[in-house]
Amino acid sequence: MLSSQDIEVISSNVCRDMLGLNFEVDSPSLSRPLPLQAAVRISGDYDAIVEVSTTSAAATAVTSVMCGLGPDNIGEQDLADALGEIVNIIGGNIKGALPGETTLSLPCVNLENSSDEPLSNGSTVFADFLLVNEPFRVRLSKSPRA
Amino acid sequence: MKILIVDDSKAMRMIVTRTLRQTNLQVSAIVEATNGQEALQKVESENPDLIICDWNMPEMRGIDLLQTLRQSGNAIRFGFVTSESSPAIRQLAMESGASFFITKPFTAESMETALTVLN
Repeated sequence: MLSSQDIEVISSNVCRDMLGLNFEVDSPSLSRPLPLQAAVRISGDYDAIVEVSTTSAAATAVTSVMCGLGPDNIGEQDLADALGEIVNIIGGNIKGALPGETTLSLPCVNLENSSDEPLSNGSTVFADFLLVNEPFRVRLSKSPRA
Repeated sequence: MKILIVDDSKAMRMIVTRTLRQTNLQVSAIVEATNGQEALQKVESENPDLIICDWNMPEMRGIDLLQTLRQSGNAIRFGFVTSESSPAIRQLAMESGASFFITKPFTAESMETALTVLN
């Protein structure tokens, strides 16, 4: 299982280095549910779910940067696309750091005020960030074996 | 050079396009496809010089697109830009006929370095 520091490095490489976004590590706080969620599943020798969750304001700002759109020109499909791609890249890099042979699913995005509960009830590691000064969480949850 | 960018994410297609424009590659035109199946149609209709392709996509994955092209005798230059980073996947890509394999996240510098194989 990766550590929260591993997640910090991977997430920073994506959000700060590649996308050029204002991105910093924040104090962990699971008491702060975040309404928008995107996830990918890792399957194979290691089963896990990688989730990102954030606010509408952060998602809009990120989509604006990624798609080159003004905030007023961003629709739900654009938000879903941008969040899905972020979790795809973070998930792919987490997958690359895990042992064994695994596959990565296509992303699944929920823009409708999710509960922000982990999608898996296995062991979890997460990291909280400020993305464009808004809360942004990356969570890796190991799926319990059947 | 006419480039076909294949990725199911519009945001990523735009990022790849912007990054390509920051490199020294002479890009005359860019066309897009959202998956491997659509890319096959664009190869026929647009006759690109280079394909830059994601790995995981609905309908048809990037590796399946590459293998389909090569099996049909199409030697078009082809490279991956993907979040998949395992050595096994990289090896499969190169053995299937890819010229380069760029992992996400990437920068203009890392893309330029990978694209030097095209010179």
